[in-house]
Amino acid sequence: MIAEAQGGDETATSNLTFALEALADPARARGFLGALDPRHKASGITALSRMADADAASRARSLSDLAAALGEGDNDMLCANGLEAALAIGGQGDLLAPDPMMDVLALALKSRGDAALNRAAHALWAHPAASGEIAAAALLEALLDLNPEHKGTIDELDLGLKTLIDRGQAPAVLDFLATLLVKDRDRLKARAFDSTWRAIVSGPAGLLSRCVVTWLISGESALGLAVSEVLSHLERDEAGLSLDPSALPTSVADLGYLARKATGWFMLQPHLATTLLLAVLGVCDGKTASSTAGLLVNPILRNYPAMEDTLSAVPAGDPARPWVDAALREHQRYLDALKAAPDIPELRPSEHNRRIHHLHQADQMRAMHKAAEAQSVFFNIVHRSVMLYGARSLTYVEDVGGSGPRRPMEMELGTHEVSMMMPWLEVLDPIGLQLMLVQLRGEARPQ
Amino acid sequence: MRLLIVDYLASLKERAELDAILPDLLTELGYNVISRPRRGTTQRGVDIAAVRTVDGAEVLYLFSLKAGNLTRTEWNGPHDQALQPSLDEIKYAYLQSRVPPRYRDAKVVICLCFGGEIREDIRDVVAGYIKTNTTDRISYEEWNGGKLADLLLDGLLREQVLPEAMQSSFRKAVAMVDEPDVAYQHFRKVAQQLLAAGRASVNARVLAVRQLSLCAWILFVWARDAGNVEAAYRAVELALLYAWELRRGVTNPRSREGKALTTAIAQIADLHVRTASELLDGKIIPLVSVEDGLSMAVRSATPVDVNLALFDTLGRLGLFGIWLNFMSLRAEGEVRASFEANAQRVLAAGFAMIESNAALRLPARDDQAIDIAIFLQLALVTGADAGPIRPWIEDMIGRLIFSLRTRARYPISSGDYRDLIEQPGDGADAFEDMTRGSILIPTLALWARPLGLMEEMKILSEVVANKLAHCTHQLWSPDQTSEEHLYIDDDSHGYAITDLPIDAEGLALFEVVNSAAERVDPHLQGLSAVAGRLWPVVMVACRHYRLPVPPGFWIAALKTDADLANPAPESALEPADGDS
Repeated sequence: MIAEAQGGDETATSNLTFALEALADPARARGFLGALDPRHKASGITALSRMADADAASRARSLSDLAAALGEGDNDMLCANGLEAALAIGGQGDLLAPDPMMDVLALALKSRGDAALNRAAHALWAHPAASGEIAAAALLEALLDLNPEHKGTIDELDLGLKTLIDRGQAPAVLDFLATLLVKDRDRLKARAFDSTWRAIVSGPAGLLSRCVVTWLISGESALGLAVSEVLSHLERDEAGLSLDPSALPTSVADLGYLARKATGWFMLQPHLATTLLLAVLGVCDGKTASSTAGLLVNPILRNYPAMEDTLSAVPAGDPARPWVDAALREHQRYLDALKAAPDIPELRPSEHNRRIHHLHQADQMRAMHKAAEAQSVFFNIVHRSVMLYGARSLTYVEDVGGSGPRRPMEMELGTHEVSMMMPWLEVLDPIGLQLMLVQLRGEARPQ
Repeated sequence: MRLLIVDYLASLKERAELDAILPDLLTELGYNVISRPRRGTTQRGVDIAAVRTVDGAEVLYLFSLKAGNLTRTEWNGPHDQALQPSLDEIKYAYLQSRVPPRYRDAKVVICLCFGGEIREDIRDVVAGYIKTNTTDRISYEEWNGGKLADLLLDGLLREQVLPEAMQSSFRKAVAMVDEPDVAYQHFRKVAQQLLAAGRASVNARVLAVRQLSLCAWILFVWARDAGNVEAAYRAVELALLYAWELRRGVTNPRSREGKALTTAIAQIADLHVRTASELLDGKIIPLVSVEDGLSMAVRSATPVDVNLALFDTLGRLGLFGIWLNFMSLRAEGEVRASFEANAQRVLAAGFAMIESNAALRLPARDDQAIDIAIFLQLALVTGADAGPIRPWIEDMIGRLIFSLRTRARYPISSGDYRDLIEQPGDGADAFEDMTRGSILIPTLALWARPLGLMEEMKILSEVVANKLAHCTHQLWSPDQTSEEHLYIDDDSHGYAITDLPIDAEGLALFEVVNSAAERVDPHLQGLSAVAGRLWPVVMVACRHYRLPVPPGFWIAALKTDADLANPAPESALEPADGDS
């Protein structure tokens, strides 16, 4: 078949890779790397990536021939195959020197072709050799040029980044993600890296908080938005953050800046915002503490009175406690003034308007219910019964095959509910809330 | 109906409230009222004096009024207004020196008049007093709430002139004061029927206005007792406008009927101020400095409700202050100073309200520019400092620009509540549909220039050019047909001054509006309320029927070289003095 392929037979050419792979002879495969027909060349490269090279000298030869086969790196398909082959060969054992593999990688990634980048992303989790610091750095650098609209590559990258975190390269991953999200701020969502974020959240203690702090004080709105969206998506608000004080910035200016950024980006996740503010209050100077406690009063407590419970639970010995007490007192003053206000029925919306609002809300809830059903993973695979009455159900079910009598099955009704806190300013001053967020989020980092 | 009126009379809190209806009632019953209640003058126990012919002879009726029930304290307690000392004053002072010469020999009936009843524990005391002091010439009558109610039903509210259908609507209005929209709708039916009935003749006009006044009073008292004067506030505004409509149809305002109408309208205007005071002094102003206090008092989970309620209240504050300022210009000495101080207090309350309630920094609906304009009119007529105006206008323009750029929560031109709560969003069609016209943008732009907000003007003009090319910027002013429709809102009228240029300097805008205002000024000056020296009625019409405040009222104060900190206290529309 190899001979027939060399003779130009189409069928044989199509199966050349498998023929070479079956022979498991690197030298034979390398023979095709210089072929004029790019299909023959590709088959040789792919076959090389699937077979073992017996020793370091042979691996060095393979890598050298690979580099030559890629030429100027202008054929994306060859580069993609070459990249995988280089990593496969490199992963088989010691090399006489690491440089040959890196040389091939550099050539394969030179043109930043879509296929090559896809393979680079894939390699991060599929090839152990890609996890080496140098190789990973080279791959990640190239992947900064990926096309964010290529969902397949993003998914591969997500797995690759998770693998790197698992293999102890979290700092490099966070740096890469930060750079990538800033670069593609309008085209790429942080939530696309779901596996990566879950690895960060469940990773080494303090990794998440370091990421949050670093990204917030970077002043890059893309990164603020990223942590806000990701933590919201992962429903991390109630859990708060376990903040290692060493993760906090040391300068007074940065501490105040972090407090404002946390307030701006976590306005809809008040527990997270409060955790960060309390952390800042625990280490900052008096002036910064005063302004940070002001943020606790307004907008945090002003928008989320329920946060009073969280703040009241701060231990007496906590350095933040005096400032928390001052904030709670100020908030209480605000609430007392409101409570003392008499009823003014003249200001209430008319019955007509209340009815319209109620209908509008009912329509919205119905639409949301339908959307939730449409997106539910379970909804289409389970039998659905709608109970109009009662607190438990009694159903007679038929066993598979329909043999035997129907079985009675009783089921207690349970409740499933989801709640979220909406900031009061959404009612009292929605535009003011948006303006405040724009201001807090957009503030440049103090020099 | 009788029970309704008996309750109303018993609920009158001040003697002055009884004053408001009794003279008209007596006139309607055939009495000739020769002396009306006056404040601040010694009355020697007599609040109202009237003459009636009985068996061919003139009888002088002297009324001493008390609100509510006649208790021991009200009879001869320590306070100045106790009834027995008043009756003694009538006997020893009034009858000795104050009776007009024509009635020196006439028989006298002294009427003990009160809205409620005589308490049983002093009935014998009062009876003994009457028996002791009754002579051939002087007799006494007890006019309690029941008698007054019967007289009202025989007089102002008699079946022939307030038919059963009208009484039915009125009863519903009173019964539904807790549902202001419903109560107002029923009251409007009554008002429309009275308006129609009043057009029959000059005398019918007088009667209809008095009935409007009485109905508005009854509704107010019931609403006050129910703790919700919303329906009454709107009803009184309507009553005032309908009353003016009836008054303007009288060709000779100095005739007996014309004067009677003027008096009745003054009473409704007084009720309007009283109702406003009940709401604003009693409930709103104490809360204006409480941060978010009024916003939270709306008790709604939707920002639209907060916004609508607060801007509406701001317009009412403006109107209230305008009336107080208007009254100050017609008073003298301490009374004038008091009215002036009150107008300033109301203005300050408005600014405090803006400061404490952020919802007031951008309307949800374009037509809330009317409430803004009314409040700013108060600032102009009181000669207010530009200090608090500037940041407010600056804030509004800033937020307007932000909302237009983000296409979120921008003021919409639709008056439909559903459009407001559904938030049209940023779709191009919805945005264009909801921003087809604006009076808010020209109003803010015209104020921005003299306040020196040039950077804001520049950005606003850019945003308008880029985002609102489809929008017709406009203002409104009366035309030759407005006089026919302004007070009753039965048809479209007036000039829409359209296609106003929102330029970066604001000069072109000012020139166009100023020129247009001059051009249509004769129509504004020709409005009977303006010519008749009761121009706040036009403001009431603008607020009530949601018409923009004509630029003729305020544009002159916004000239480039105008010093906003010290504007002329009275515009060209302000009368020097008057009989209104």
